[in-house]
Formats: sequence, structure tokens, C-alpha cells
Amino acid sequence: MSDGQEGRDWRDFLVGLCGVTMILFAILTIIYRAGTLDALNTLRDLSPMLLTGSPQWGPLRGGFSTNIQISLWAMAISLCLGFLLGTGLISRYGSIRLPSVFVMNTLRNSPWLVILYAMLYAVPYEIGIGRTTFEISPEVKAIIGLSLPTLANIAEVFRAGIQSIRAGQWEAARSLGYSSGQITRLIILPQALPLMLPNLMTTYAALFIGTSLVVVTGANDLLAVARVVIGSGAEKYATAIYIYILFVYFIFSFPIAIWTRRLERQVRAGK
Amino acid sequence: MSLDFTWLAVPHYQRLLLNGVSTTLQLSLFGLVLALFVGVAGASLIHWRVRYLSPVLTTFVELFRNTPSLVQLFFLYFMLSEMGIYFLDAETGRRVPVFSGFTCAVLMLALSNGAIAIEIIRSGLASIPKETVEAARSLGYSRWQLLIYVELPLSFRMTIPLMANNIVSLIKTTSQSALIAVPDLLYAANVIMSDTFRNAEVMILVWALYLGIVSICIQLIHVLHRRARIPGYGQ
Amino acid sequence: MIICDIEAKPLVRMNAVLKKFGQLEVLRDISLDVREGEVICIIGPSGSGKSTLLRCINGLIEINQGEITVGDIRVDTLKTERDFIALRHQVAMVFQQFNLFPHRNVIDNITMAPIKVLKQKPEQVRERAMQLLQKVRLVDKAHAFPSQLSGGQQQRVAIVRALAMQPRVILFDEVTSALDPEMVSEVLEVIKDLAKEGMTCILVTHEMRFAREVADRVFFTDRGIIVEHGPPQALFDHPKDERLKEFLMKVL
Repeated sequence: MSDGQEGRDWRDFLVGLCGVTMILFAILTIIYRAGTLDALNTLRDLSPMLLTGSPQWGPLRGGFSTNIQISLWAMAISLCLGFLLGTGLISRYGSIRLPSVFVMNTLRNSPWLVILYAMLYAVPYEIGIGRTTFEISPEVKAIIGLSLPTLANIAEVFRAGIQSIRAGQWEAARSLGYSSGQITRLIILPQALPLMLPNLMTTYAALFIGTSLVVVTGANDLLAVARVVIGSGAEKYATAIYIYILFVYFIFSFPIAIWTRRLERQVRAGK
Repeated sequence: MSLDFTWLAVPHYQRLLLNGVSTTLQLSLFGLVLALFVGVAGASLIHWRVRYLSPVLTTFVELFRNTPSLVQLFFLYFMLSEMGIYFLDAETGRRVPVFSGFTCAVLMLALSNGAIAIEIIRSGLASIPKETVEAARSLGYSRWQLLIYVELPLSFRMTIPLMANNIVSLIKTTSQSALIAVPDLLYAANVIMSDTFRNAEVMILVWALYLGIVSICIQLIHVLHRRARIPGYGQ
Repeated sequence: MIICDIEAKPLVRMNAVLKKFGQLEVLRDISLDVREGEVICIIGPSGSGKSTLLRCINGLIEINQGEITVGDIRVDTLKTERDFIALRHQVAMVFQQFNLFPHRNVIDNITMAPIKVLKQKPEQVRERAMQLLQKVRLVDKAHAFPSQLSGGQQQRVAIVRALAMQPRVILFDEVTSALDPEMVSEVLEVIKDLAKEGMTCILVTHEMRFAREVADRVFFTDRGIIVEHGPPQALFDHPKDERLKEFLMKVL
């Protein structure tokens, strides 16, 4: 990887970061004019609550930390189930492949918000196994709801990655006598997994941005806390708070996006 | 588990659903038209590397691509209502906000999916072989003519699959307008659910309706793709 | 070079083979015999079914009608993985695009199949691999990766990879067509040496000079059937069929 390329990535990153910060700050100033300083102070005071759900940077009880946690859990679940569905997508047997394609397309074409609402109403508040009852928190419902479309995306990434390995590799391996299992394990997967990585990262970025919707399941995330805060006295600064939220999401997602583009370039160069 | 769809026969609920579908379609249509406009304009300006505007546009694109559309929606909604732009309705004499929920939603779609469209069209423009552009320039095409007659048509055809994803995403995103009380399909679902308590049935139907809308749209784009295909290009 | 009895049973036999892709008949009534140690070249215009023919012999493509035999194995009736593996112990193939595994180095590419497919002992396989690499003069590249090699070097490694399976017959599918002209000869030299050592070779090729020098018999195919066949001198110097004459005029 030439040094010039890496330098350019850093430059894109810094320019994007500064640019967006300046734009958001400019909008803030335009709206609040003289009151901008007060707005900034309010935002600083509200930060602990918005980011951790506790007034004093205390235990992680909500806010942005919930979004992060939900995204990590959902990604873990989606990776496992998504790979599973992905193997169904490339199966030789129509009886496995067709239902898999149907499930994947359905989940990919459904609005995430509708799925989350469905989770809210379809998943019970508590399930009883034997004599103990488990309470299913809104956060868990959110995780399930977000996992569904994400696992469909991951299945598609998996399929595309596997099928992008040139047919010649399959032919050569078969001619040498490798069994299907050996070909998949030794020849195809080692080449396909690095190819899938950028797209998997993009999927995570979309998932993370999608956690903004979990407020409808009742989860105590950033938007939920913001709503409470605005409702209890800070209406004046509602716009400022939403600018703040945009900013927080941005500084989390943008680095991932830049890193993904870099990986994509490397993968393409390596081909 | 027995599903009870008898509520579907009630004309009141039917009207709600139909209005919901209609609003969703309107949101999608207006949002799409504006997003495409934003996409073409923005992509062209960035492609031409217009001084001052290009970097600002690029920054806007990054901002809207890396932040949630729901937050953008809330931000627009609160900001625009805070700016308090009203007009006086001559008939009723009441102050009507210029920026209703519907308008905010369409605006959000135009900016959010428009930013993605800018990126898609821009990358399409950038991937046109230099030789094609040189040939057109040496034939005397101006930069405008080059853009309209050569670059954009090629870019559109090449990026139909990516744009299809963007359009599907746009339709799915319209459902978020329900959270600012725009009477779209999801909002109608909520109203009916709170009335009839038939949560599962309503969600199933509404989910199916959304899937139906998206599927029809995908089919339309397929037809467009096939008819716009340039035989043998890119082989 | 034939070094065995002319009356011996053929090593590879195809009888009345028919292969259709949908409605298109790519191979129509193909019948041929290849004896052990023979070098066969198959020539013909593109689309005449040559590559398909090769792939039928090692079971990559299933035929619609007819019989194919390699040694004692009936290729067209093979069912289980184990049977196919047994076939591929006898028949190896080298491809136009080399198809080396880019994520493993040269020595791994060569030794993995004998170790994992044939379950042979790693040390023996390595030794054999190094000997073969020496024959093609690529010992110093044993630990390089395919992307670090030139086209000609990659193709020579591909041939070694096929040889490492100790096959009875090797199929070559236009193995020099993707190479720059300077590298074609180094690959053809390797094949020439193989032929001299008595390996049965079936080549689909455009290299007419090579066919004339090295082949025992040449087959000319056009649109799915073998139009003419015979020793190279007969075919090239005294072609009988019109289509063959036309083809030779275009390529020679």
C-alpha cells in the first residue's frame, strides 16, 4: 500500500470531520445567534445523560451507550444466523435455496421501523420456561428486531463473496479431486472471507445507524433520553440537542466508513 | 393461533389504510423526484470540481450518509417549526406552518437519499472512460452538452442496480414519518391497532402492504433496466 | 511417443458421446480412442466443442448419451464422490487460465491435493514436488505466491500440480493461449519433455507447429463432430475435408 494512498485517507478523514463539525456549528449559530454559547453549555451539561443515561457519567443505563450495546449484540447474532442463511442461499438443493432466497428478500425489502413495531407487538413481555419467567426487555426486542434485516444483508454478502471466486478455481480444485467440503474449506472460503470484510463493515455501519429507531420498542436509547430531556424543560434547545445527536452518530460512523473504503481499495488492488 | 381480519371489512379502517398507502406513495414520489434532482445537481457540481461548492457538497454528503435519517427528520422538524415560518390562510385566518410534517419528511428524504444519489451518480460519472469524454470534447461538445448527452445517460444506465437499492431504501424510510404524525401507512397501522387491539393482524397486513409496494417498485426498475441496457457494453 | 503394443486396450475411449447445453448440441457423436503413451492434439475453430470434450473426460461435465472410459473406469456412470476422486487420480487437467490457488504458495498448491485428496505422506509428496519443480526449472520459486510469478511460470507450476497427482493421462486445455508469445515456448518445452517420457497427453491447442512436431495423432473438430483425424503429416499436408482445408488456410 503506497504511502500516498494512506495519507489521502487520513486527509479525507480529517477534512470530513472538520467540515461536518463546522457545518453543524454554523447551523447552530444561525439558529441560536446570541444564545449559541448558552446552547453549547446546555449540551455540555446534558452530555452525561445523553451518552450514558446517568446524570453523572455513572453506570451505563441508557443513552448512546445503549445504542452501542444493542448494535454489538445484534451484529453478533446476525453474523451467526446470516452466515447460516448464506449457506442456504448457495445450496445446490432448490428445496433449501428457494425458501432461503424468499426469506432474505422479504427481510431486505421490509422497512426496519415496521419490523421493530412488529417486534414490539409480537414478542411477549415475558416468556415462561418451566417455573421461571424471563422478562424480555425493550432492548432485547430491539436487538431481535434489528437482527432480522441485518442477517439478511449478511447472508447476501456471504453469497456474493463466495460466488465472486472465479469458476476456474472450482474447476481446478475439482479436477485435482478435492471433495466439495474440501474445496469450500481450503480454497473458496480463505479467498472469499477477506473479500466479504468491507461489505460486512458496511452492514455494521448501517446497523449502527439503524439503532436510532429502537426508541419505538421502548428502549432507553439516545433518542429516548433526548425526548425525556426535551420534555422536561429544555424545549428551547431541542434543535441543538438534535444537532448534537447528529454529531455523535457522525463521529462514530464516519471513521468506520473511511476505513471501509480503504479496505475496499485494498481488496480491489489485491485481486 | 387464530387470526381475526374482520376489522378489514369496516369502511373506516379501509379508508385509513388507503389514505395511508396513498400518503406513503406520495412521500415516496416527491421524495424520489427531489432526491434525484439533488443527486444530479450535486454529482455534476462535484464532478466539475466547482470551486468552494464541491468541498461543501462533499461534506454535506458525508454528513447525511453517516447519520440516521430519523434524527435528520427530527432535526428538520424541530428546526423548521422553531424558525416559525407561517403563512396566513386567507380563508380561515389561521396560521398554517409552511413546513408541515409531510414537507419535513419529503425534505429529509430529498437530503438523505439525495446524498446517496449524489455519491452513486458521481461514481458513475467518474467511471466513464476518459477516451469517451475526450472524443466528445474534440467533437465540440461543451461541458454542459457533454454532461447531458454523454456522461449522465451513461452514468444512469451503469448505476441502475445501485440506484434501485437507494429507491427501495427511500420507500422503506418513508415509514419513519409516522413518528412525526404524518398519516402514512405505518401511522394508519398504529391508529387501527389502538382501536381494535388486533396487533398481530394489523402488523401482518401492513408489513405485507409495504412488501407489496417495494416489490412492485423493484419490478418496474427491472423493466427499466432491461429496456435501458446497452447491448454489449462493458463486456 | 508410443512405446507400447499397438494392439493394447485404449487408455481413454469415447463412444458416440452426445452433449447438449439446453437445445444446443455441443458434442454430436464423438468417438475416439487414445492409447497409453500417445500424444493427441485436438484442433478446430472456436465453439467446436473442444474444451467441452476435455471436460467430459475427467467428469467435470456430464454427457447426455454415449460412453466414456478411462482405464477401467466408466466415467459416464460415476455417482459418488469417492468414484470421482478415483477418476481424478488417473486424469489430470491443466487450464488456459492456470487457476492456481492465489492464497497458497507454489509448494502448497502442488502438495495439498496429494496429501488431502490421496492421503499420501507429506514428506514423500514434498520430495516428489521438489523433483518435479526441478524438472521445470522452478525450484527457486517453491515458496513464492502465484501473483509473484509470470504467466509462463504459473502455467509450469500448474503442470507440476497436475503431475504431482501421478496421473495416467493429462488433459491440456489451450494452455498457451493466455500467455505472451515469449513464454509460450517454455511451457511447450515442458509438455514436449513429458511426451518424451511417455505420458499420455490430450491437448486442445492452436499451436500447429507443436502439433506437427510432437503429436502422434491430430483430431480436427468442427461443430461438435470429429471431421478428420490422423497422423499430423497426413492432416496438415494432405487435408481431405473442405472445412479442414479452410481452417488450415486461416491459421497456418
